[in-house]
Formats: sequence, structure tokens, C-alpha cells
Amino acid sequence: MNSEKIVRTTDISEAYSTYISDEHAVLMAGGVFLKLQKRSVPVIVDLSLLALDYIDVKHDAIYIGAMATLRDIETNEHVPTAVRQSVEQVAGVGLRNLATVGGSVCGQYPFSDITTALLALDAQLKFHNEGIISLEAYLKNHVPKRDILLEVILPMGVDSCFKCFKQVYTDFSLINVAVASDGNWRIAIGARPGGPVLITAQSLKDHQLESLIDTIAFGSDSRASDEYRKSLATLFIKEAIEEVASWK
Amino acid sequence: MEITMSINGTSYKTSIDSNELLVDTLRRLGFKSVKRGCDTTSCGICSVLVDGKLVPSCSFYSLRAEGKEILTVEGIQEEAREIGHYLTAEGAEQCGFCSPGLVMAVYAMQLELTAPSLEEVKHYLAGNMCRCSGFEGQHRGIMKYLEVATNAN
Repeated sequence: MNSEKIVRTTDISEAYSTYISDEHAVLMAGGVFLKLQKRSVPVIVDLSLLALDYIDVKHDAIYIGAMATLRDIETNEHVPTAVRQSVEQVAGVGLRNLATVGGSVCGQYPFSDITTALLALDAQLKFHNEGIISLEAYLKNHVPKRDILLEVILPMGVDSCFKCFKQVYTDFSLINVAVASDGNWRIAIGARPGGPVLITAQSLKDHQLESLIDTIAFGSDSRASDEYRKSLATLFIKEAIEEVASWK
Repeated sequence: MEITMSINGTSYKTSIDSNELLVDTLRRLGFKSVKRGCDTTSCGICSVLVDGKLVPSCSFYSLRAEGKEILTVEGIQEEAREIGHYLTAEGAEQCGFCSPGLVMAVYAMQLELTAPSLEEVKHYLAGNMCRCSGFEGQHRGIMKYLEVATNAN
């Protein structure tokens, strides 16, 4: 992507006002997908100087700055298991040193691995203007508001697990699932056409689980058929539930 | 616009276009080991270190290099020769096009990991593609190099 102007600032208010002053302005987080796009925009707002590349662990929650890289997340042992597992096979270390959690979430890529894991963990998103909204609500509102994501907030002490199927190690997933439990179960299914969806349940017996999975439209595209995704996801969900339950 | 960055320990002040990518800036300044391969962050051939971290220079906007320390294979010639020796000894080198990126990834891995297992090495280097020799020979060479390098320290 080319732009007439790239604005670099350490001031979040300036970044935000520049962004909303032009409807064609674009935010740059890691810049990886931006660079691949063949179009021109009047203004790019570079978020790399806003000091949003932190991971703060507090007693109640973990606060991940929107500009923390996927590699930062992978190598931080305090980050919930599913989230760390979800970034392990996102391209190579080099790309993970650039790509950020904010860019991954706000890009709303249907193939995203980390968004599935964050959804299972009931991540809360803190925006500059809107304040805090849940990732679940953010994904349901299909047209994202023009705002700047500041951080992703995850609860501490929730057991979780992520699984995905890729044809080669660093490929996009054909299907991914993440399971989290704090007593109630949250099961997210992603890398399907249309992005991740969520199932919640208080208890899970096999027949209940299968009828819950039956309610999901997995979707077919050039990567995999609906049926194939469903059979993989069913297996992964059962395995992930067993793993999460065994950690208690 | 103008940026100042350190490349292999030397300070450079250079004029860039705001949309310029680091691979192009480095090549213009004469660092021809840095090559554009896939241009989509998939192959790892353009890898350099920015402040000690491995990054694909084809997707790193040059203006973000302001004040940073860049390291290319030209800056680690001794280590590169050593790693190259172990790769060629395993017959793992053919055209050599991908080698600078692979060497930078091995160098970055050494900064980050202590005595990694073969699985950890494969995981770390999964973003570096080689089109002509396959990976088994590379892995053999890299494991032998790491063993010797670790014992030497």
C-alpha cells in the first residue's frame, strides 16, 4: 500500500484525530498485510511509536498492548495457553516479530488463529474512543467503528487449549478451535468462511456437544468443504475439552 | 524524508521515500546480500535483524528503521562463513540464493535460544524456505554447527 503521507506520532490523541479526519486514512500496526495491498490512500497513521507493545500481568487480568507482536505473545509464559498455541504456527518467527495482536484482531481476517483463541477466552477490547467492549460483541458488529485499539484484556486463571489443521506447518488453518473453561465452557471455531463463532455451555456430555456442533455452519471454500471442516472440528473440540479438563 | 540508522555498526543517514521498504533501502546502500524473494513474508530470504530481532525486510517500512540497529549478513561475515561451512559439508547448498536469510535466522536463533533441540530449530526456521536442496541436509548442518558453537562458548 502506498500513501501520500505517513503520520508517526507518540501522541494517541493526534493519531486518533488524524485517523478520523480522513475517511480514507488507514492505521498501520505490524504493516504486514498493509504492505501486500495494492492500493493508495491519502494517509497512513503509524501506531508503532505509541508505546502499545507491552504485556502487563496483573493479579486479575493480563493486559496485552495492541502493538505487542505475535512473537511477544508466543514467548510470554503468562499469556493463556490457547493464545500462545494459536500464534505458534503463524508463518515464521520473522513475520511474528512484525505482526501484532491489534492488527490481527482489527483486520478481522476470517483465517485468523489468534482471534479464535481470544474469543474462547472472552477477551475484552479497549479502544481509544469507545472504551471497553467484548471481542464477541466487536465481531458481531460487522462494520468496525473507526477507532484505535489500545489493548486486549484477558482473564487470569482460565484453562484453555487451541488446535488447528494446516496442510503445511506455517500455512493458513483450514479450521481452528479454541476451548476455555472457568467452570462454564466457551468453544470458539474459526478459520471458516465468515470468521470465528462461539458456542457456550455449562456442562458438556458427548451427545450435547454433538448437537451444539450441529448448529454451526462451517462453510465451504477453496481451502476445505463444510463436511471436512466439521469432522476435523468435532475431533479437535473433543480433544481440547479433554486436555483442558485434565489440567484441573 | 531522511532517516538515520545503524547498519552493521556504522551509522547511515539516507533519504527515503515514505513508502519505501527496508529491503530496497539496504540494497541501494550496497547491502546486496539482502534479496527480495517471495515479497509476501513467506520465504525468509530478505531476513535481517532489527534491534536483534529477525524481520523480513520486504515488509518492514524503512521509516520504522529510524534510530534502529540493522544487521545483515555483511555484518557477521565470520559467523556466516562458519554456518556456510557446515551447510556445504552436508551438501545442503546449491544455488545459495536463500542462504543469507537462513544464516540471519540461525544467528537470531542463537541470540534467543540456548542449545535448542531439533524440534525447536525446525520451529524457529519454519519461515525460511529453500527451493533447491530440501531441509534435511540444512537441519543436519545447523545441528552440527550449534553443537560446536555451544561447546566453544
